[in-house]
Amino acid sequence: MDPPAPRSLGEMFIKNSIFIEIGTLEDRLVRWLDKIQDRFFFLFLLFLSVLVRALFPLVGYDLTRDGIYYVKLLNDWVTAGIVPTHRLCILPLVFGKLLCQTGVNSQMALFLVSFVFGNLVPIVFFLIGREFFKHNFPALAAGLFAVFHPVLVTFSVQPLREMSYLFFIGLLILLMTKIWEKNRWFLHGFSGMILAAASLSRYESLEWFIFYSFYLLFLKWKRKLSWEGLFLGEVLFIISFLGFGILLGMMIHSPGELFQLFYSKGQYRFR
Amino acid sequence: MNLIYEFLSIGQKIFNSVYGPFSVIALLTGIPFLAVQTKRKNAVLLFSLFCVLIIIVLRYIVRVESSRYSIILIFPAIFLCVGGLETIRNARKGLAILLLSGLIIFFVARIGVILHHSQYNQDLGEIICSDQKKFRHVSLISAERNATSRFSYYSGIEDVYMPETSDSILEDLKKYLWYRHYSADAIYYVIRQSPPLKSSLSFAFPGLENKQTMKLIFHERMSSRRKDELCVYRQIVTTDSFLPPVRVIPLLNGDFEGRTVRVSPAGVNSGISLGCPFQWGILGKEHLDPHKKAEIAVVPDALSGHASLKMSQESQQQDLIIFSPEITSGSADWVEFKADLSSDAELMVKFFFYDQKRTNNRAEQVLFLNGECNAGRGIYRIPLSPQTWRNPFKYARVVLSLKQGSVLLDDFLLLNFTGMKK
Repeated sequence: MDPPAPRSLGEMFIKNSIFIEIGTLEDRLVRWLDKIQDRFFFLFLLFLSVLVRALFPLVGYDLTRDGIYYVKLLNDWVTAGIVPTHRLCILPLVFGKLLCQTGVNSQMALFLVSFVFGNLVPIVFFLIGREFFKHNFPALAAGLFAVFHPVLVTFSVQPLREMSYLFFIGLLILLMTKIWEKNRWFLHGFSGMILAAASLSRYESLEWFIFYSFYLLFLKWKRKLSWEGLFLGEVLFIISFLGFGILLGMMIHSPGELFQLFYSKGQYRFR
Repeated sequence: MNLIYEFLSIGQKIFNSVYGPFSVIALLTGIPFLAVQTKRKNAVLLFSLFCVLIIIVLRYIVRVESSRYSIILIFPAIFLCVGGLETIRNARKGLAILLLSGLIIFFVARIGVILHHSQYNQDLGEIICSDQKKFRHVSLISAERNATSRFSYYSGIEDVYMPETSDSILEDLKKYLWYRHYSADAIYYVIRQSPPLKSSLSFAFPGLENKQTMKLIFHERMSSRRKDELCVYRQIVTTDSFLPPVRVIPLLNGDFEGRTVRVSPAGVNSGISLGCPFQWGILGKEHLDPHKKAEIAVVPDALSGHASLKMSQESQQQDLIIFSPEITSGSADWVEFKADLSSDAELMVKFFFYDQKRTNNRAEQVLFLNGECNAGRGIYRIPLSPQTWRNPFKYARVVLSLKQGSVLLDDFLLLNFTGMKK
């Protein structure tokens, strides 16, 4: 009797055996991933993320139009003392200015700010993913998407505000998922502070003020929160948001300047 | 129609904010996930979808101008995709990990493509930086409005001009070349072109025998998908090549030899002294800060003749503005004047068009002189061709607006090519 002919790839696909083999491998991987400790995931994602993003400065790349604008703003601030009072969303510029004290130039300082936040964002995605899906495999998939997503990669190496904005909003979402599990008063306070930091990065963050309030109502509807808890949570959230936001703002501007800024109708004003 | 176009345009920006192909993949893989979770009445998912809907609606309400404003949608996109993969994994073993690997390979390939064409602006800057060392004053014209700040940043040229319209870019370029040729030794012109590239661009100016030629000094492909290349053309300017055979009509009191009318007598503590030349006018004098110095005067330190107009002021919110006597439609093809700028001067030259009843008017900025680039004496010409006039405007005035510094002005002339070789 002749020996059976070797199976072609097409035949393997038709008979599903390739999926069965990969499926077995996948099951083992999923089980193995669930046993691994968090810090290994953090290190793995951080390593991959730094590796991918570091390619850009090594190969060389162009700054975007807005990136150049922020570099010039920071440069004016550092060299001539012109405070960029155009709106309040200048938290990345504040970090950049602090970095400039160490001797790096404006472009490098803002790059480092974006780079650091950009490398932390995949870890935030991983943590949110685990809260949603309760397993490490989908969480790792979310983290890997964040590591290799072209938009996130390019923004991580540009001197822009996007990465700090995404990082803080990611943290806020993470805290919201934590509140779903355990309603602790300090979590509302942290949420307010993080939203303040996000709002000082981008104005769009302010929409999360609405979502947070709706979220507390949603928790009440799902009977995870009492009316008192809802009220306390909302008050804590607002107080910490305003308190931390004003505190951060006053690190840059005097109270009088802050008052003027709110009424400047978004015009470009220097000094 | 405009509303539909705007709706689609914003939709495209929102779609692109999470990278177009990934948006499609997230939606496709997300469908089974959404179907399964909706059947299970997953309230958290419904709440998340409600938030996403509000995010999208808010972007429509504020009419986002850039896809960066919707980058927050990267969170739902990634988790929708992951949820989809998780649903697929439960239904069919082995497919999810293949899809995940495929997507990551696709992302890596995309990053590779981005890296491959990521530094053409830097290359352009290096070429211009090394080339401009041969010249004293250089100027840059950019046909790519969105990339102009990058060209300026990488080339180090601050004297940058962007033509206002893209449909008549060569006409705008001609106009700019004409009135910049006295103040720049070399002019660089950056434009995106499809192959085959022209090795030089030639322009014929009305009234000039010789054509002006710009040579291609740099070109580089910008994207792997498109064949367009970023090109830099350079013209070395020689004043001799722009000799104009024209009929010259002096503008009324354009040489400032006429009498002066004192407009605002200087107070004891006021730093403002405004002496307006006869037939000319001053605008916005009441808004000037009396604590800062501002002066308009006809002075004997003349650029030509016996007197010139001097404008000077310290930097302040309000510009020092003076306007010329009336010019009627068809009386001139160009307006010429002499100027001597201090190194800190910033002078804006505009045309102010209006109709007979002065009910309709239009201001058009035609020239910006910066002391850093245009310091010293120069002759400037501004086109006032029939195309510049539009109905119902029949009259125009030259408006000179000084932000700061000091400038001497003289010999405002109307140049007419009518009846001459064009």
